[in-house]
Amino acid sequence: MFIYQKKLQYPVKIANPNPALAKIILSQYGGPNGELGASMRYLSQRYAMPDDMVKGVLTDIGTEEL
Amino acid sequence: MTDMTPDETSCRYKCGALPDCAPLAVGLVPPQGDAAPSYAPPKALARGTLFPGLDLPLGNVVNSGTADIPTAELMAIDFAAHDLSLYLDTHPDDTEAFETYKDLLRLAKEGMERYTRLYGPVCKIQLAESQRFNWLKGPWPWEYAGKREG
Repeated sequence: MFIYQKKLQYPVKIANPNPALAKIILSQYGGPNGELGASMRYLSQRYAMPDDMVKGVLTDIGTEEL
Repeated sequence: MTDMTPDETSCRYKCGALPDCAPLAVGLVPPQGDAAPSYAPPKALARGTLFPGLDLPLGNVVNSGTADIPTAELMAIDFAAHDLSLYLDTHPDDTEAFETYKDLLRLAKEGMERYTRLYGPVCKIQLAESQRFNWLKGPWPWEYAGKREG
């Protein structure tokens, strides 16, 4: 289960917003090779994983992708 | 009405065969009387609904969940707090609700500490109080065994 922290992983300060670039970056999150799909795959592969260490790794990577 | 083209109407959506500015949908909310009969809270938590009438099968699998796992109490209090926080998102000035929310958060914090002492961390950041890195120890949340049929 996920808890949301109202903080980024590192500082971000935007002087000049660039919507065109943002649109390109955001489009990369979707699709079969994107982070969203990857996170779902990592997190759901845990349920059939017998090894505890790998359960932990899949949890951490899936979280990172999210 | 029908001699107006879509461009000339004051609606922002197409008229088609409908009158101008017809509603897109009509909500139907069945009136709900008392909350009785209702499940006891642990059963409600395990079944996903307070109302037996809404406890319906999925496909041909009948819902038969039970709440007899170590995390059940913590789940209940966290759920109550989280659900109230959703109400507060749209009613931030409801001070009475906020006081209740704070009480629930306090209860949840105590529950979490009790649970962690008995069973180990729920969040990695709780490892600050652990003697060793026991994060990987099972059972993981999906590994509690239910009763097998047959």
